[in-house]
Amino acid sequence: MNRIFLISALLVGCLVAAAPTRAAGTHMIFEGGGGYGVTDLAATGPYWDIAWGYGGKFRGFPLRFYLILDYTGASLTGDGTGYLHNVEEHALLTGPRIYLPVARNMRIFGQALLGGFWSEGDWTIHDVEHYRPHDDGIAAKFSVGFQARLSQHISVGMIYDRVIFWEKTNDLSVSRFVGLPGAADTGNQNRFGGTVTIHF
Amino acid sequence: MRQLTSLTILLILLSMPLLVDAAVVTGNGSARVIQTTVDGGKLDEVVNVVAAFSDDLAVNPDHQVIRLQFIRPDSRAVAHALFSFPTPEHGGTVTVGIGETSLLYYELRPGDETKAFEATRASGELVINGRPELGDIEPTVNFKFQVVGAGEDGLMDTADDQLRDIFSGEIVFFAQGDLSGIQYYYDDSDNIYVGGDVFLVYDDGCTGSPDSYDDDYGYDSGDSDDSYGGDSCDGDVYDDDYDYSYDDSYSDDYDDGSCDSDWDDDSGDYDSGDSDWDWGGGDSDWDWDGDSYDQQGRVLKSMSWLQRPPRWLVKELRRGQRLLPMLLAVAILLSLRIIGSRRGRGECLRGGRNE
Repeated sequence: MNRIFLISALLVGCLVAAAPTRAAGTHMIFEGGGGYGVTDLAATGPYWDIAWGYGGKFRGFPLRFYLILDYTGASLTGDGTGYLHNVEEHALLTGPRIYLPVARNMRIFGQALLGGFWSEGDWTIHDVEHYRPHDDGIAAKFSVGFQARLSQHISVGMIYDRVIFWEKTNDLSVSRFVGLPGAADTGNQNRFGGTVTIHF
Repeated sequence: MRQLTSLTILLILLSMPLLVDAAVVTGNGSARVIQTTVDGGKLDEVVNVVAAFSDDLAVNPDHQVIRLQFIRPDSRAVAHALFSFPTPEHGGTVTVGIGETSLLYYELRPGDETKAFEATRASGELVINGRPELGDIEPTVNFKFQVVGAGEDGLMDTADDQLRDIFSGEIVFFAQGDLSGIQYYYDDSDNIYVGGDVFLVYDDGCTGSPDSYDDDYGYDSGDSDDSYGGDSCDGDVYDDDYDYSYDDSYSDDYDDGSCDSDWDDDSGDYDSGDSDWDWGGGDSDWDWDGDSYDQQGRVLKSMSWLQRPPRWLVKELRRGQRLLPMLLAVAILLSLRIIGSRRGRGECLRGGRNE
């Protein structure tokens, strides 16, 4: 009986210690997400995203400011008369994110990220010709989203991204190279997805 | 320390070299090609050929590709020939076949998605004079090759085998100037037609020769449509017109001096009275708080444009939250008590005594 009492007391102690009456606040986030992307030329496919952030708030001001480091990838497919185009792309981006609380535990946010990308296209022309252009360059991602902070440490949300690529020249070149200028796809895309965020 | 780490990462990212691609893409040309067959020359025709040149698109990254598009005057078919070959030094003769140095040849018939002809054997040679990415303004190619297709029966060396001997004159890759009118392609309407786009060519990302082509985009490369400043290739490809005089548009509007509903009226973290931005207050010039789940609620409490939850509900929820550990502990104790009593009763039954 003494042992049971001892274990019980220990459990109670742990629970009480783990439940502060006032949350201390967090400065880090780790976020995972994914969804669906659509380029301006209607190539579609899934994307995934992981992000790490550091931030906080200025006393007396409700906005939260974070510096985000984001790694994202997508696998998109587009087709048309005479061609099939797959592309795998990755981007490493960084920039600010700002949260605005709008209701209890509900918040909207926006972010503007800039960084580099690398991609590999895979073109099949007339079911016969194959090209595999590689590109790298500068990319940007502008996002708006909504998050519900379920607890001190977990948020879930939805996000819309506009992703823009510069210098995706080789992939664009294929369409001209094979005489199908209508197949030129900058890869700029809209993404719709969900997020799960850990605050710590 | 954490801020310092974040700042370091940001600086590393910003100092990454600008990823500017060099040496891409397509060339274009025009020449006369004579296409013949072995059965008496029914297909003997003079056709137009459009050529494109690339060293960055091949499946094998060490290969270059020259693509030829043959346009028959009667528009009965458009043919495509692709030479893929290891990058030569500065040109030369390349022996081609189907394989490592490959020649791919096929014909498409307008109105018919199926291939009319695809070569299964090919041989010949391609002569290259100059390479665009090495600064040759007007490289040329010429070729002669023979391709053989299996015909409709799908079998080689049968009567319906199709054979093409194709010889070209010199194809000049126009590197600059108005190339309108020589882009041929096969479009959705099943027509072969001549496009009007100026086709372009090559951009090495640097100023000066050999980049004399105008590709309508890219960085300062001496072409005519370069909107960026700078005249070197040392990374100054972006004209840093940026100034860092960020315009701070924040005003002091957040503090209206009242105690009703602005962001200044709350207690606790909200430094009511003097300043909404508590930069200089207290012990720290940089009063940086964590992103608190709890604080968010109190921020909102002070915002008049949100409907506050009923005060009694908030109070009850908070009371419940505080009592949660104790309730859990009681539940655990009760559970243990129940388990213990059951175990004791089981011992009694096994012992056969029930006092």
